[in-house]
Amino acid sequence: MKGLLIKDFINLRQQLKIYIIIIILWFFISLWNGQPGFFSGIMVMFAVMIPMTAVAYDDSCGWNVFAVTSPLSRKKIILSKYLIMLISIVVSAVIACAGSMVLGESLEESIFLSAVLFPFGIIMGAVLMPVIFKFGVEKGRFAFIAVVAAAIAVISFVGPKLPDLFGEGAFFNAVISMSRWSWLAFLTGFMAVLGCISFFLSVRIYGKKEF
Amino acid sequence: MNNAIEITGLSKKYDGFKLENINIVLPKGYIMGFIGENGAGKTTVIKAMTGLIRYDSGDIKLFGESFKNIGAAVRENIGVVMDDYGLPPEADTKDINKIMKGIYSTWNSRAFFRYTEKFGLPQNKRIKSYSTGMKRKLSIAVALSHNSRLLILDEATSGLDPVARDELLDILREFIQDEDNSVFISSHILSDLEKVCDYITLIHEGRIVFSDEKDELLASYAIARCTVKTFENINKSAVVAFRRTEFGIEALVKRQMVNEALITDNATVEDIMVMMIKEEKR
Repeated sequence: MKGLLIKDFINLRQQLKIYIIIIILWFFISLWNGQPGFFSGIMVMFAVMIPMTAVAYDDSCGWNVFAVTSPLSRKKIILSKYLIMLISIVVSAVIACAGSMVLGESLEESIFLSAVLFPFGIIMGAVLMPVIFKFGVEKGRFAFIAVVAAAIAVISFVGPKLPDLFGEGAFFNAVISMSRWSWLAFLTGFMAVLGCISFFLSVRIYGKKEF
Repeated sequence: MNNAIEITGLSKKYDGFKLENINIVLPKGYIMGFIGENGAGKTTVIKAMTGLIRYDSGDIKLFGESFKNIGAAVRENIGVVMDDYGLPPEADTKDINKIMKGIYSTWNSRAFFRYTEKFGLPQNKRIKSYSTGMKRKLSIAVALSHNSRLLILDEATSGLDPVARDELLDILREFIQDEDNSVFISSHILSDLEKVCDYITLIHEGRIVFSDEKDELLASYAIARCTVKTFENINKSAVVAFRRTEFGIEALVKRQMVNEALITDNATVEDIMVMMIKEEKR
């Protein structure tokens, strides 16, 4: 499976250079905008775009036909894509955190803000990956745009308000014993379960696929 | 375990096409050529054999092991080259080596670079800038660079120039020197197959027409070119197919069953295939 990760990285090399330029651009837009949440929202988008692009490369060059006949099991092929998604989310979160600090947020706020990426990134990925494996990357892109629009709206709007919401808000009276970090950990755990369900669904879809 | 490939009763149905009761046996150490028209089912059989598609009924055994139980270890021994598979466009040969090292536990880097050099493949160019022929050669280099005991090639020679095709045939001959190695190759270039194959299997409209030793095939059949009158005197059960020409009749006959006095020419594999198929269509 190491070979698969190397292959995806090689394919994505050129794209990554372009993404870095775009990220820098968005960073300055966020700076001008005064909205660190905006920057985080974009980073979520990139986190999910990267595995999608990896799958697109495979589909367009006929790699799957080779991979399925090799010693790699179909499960490993899918696992490598989810791993890439996870790596993308982690790296995006780190960049979002750093970016957020430069934009003026404190370390704790920045970490919290970027940690919020995890649930959103995972939920987007969990929804999109099976769609892509079942219907192809083209149709997946439509689903992607819909989910990204929703994600940006939520993060940009809710992001800066999170400290207040998690504070003494009535909404959280029921879980008043949980700090916002525990709540976030719980949410991330829940999303991880969702991610696993998505993985097994993708394995099933890909397992039945004919090339 | 004497057979590299053993297919029994393979059937697969699609809308508008079906594979029916395919039976193919390739003994270990030999080369089998798989021929047929476009759309006859060659690629479908090969895809079933390599796990790319599922089949409705029948059994496929590779190296004596039922396909359903084939694990990673057996796949290390199978090298596949297909018409529609591709390697990562952004990679060059060094990258491919790194990738394959992480996929095949029996990957042999030295052998791989030896083949890429032998095939004249450029070292630092990305695959997206390769010609079709170069991509094909690279795929073949990959298939030969892990512990392949069975090569399955689908139209691997199409897109190659005559010199490259000849080189490939030499490589297959070299590969088969090892008695444990076998090759299953489909191709439209029947003259190539005739040069190098031990067995020939013809598929037509999803059914196997014949699967025989090549030498026996060529010995069994002959082409009789004669006048209509002479043709009428030939034992009808000896005639497999015939067609009218400017000069009379051209018939594919079974050598053993015709009069020794009848003048016949040797039939090539192409003659046999084309005439049999045209006869089926009449």
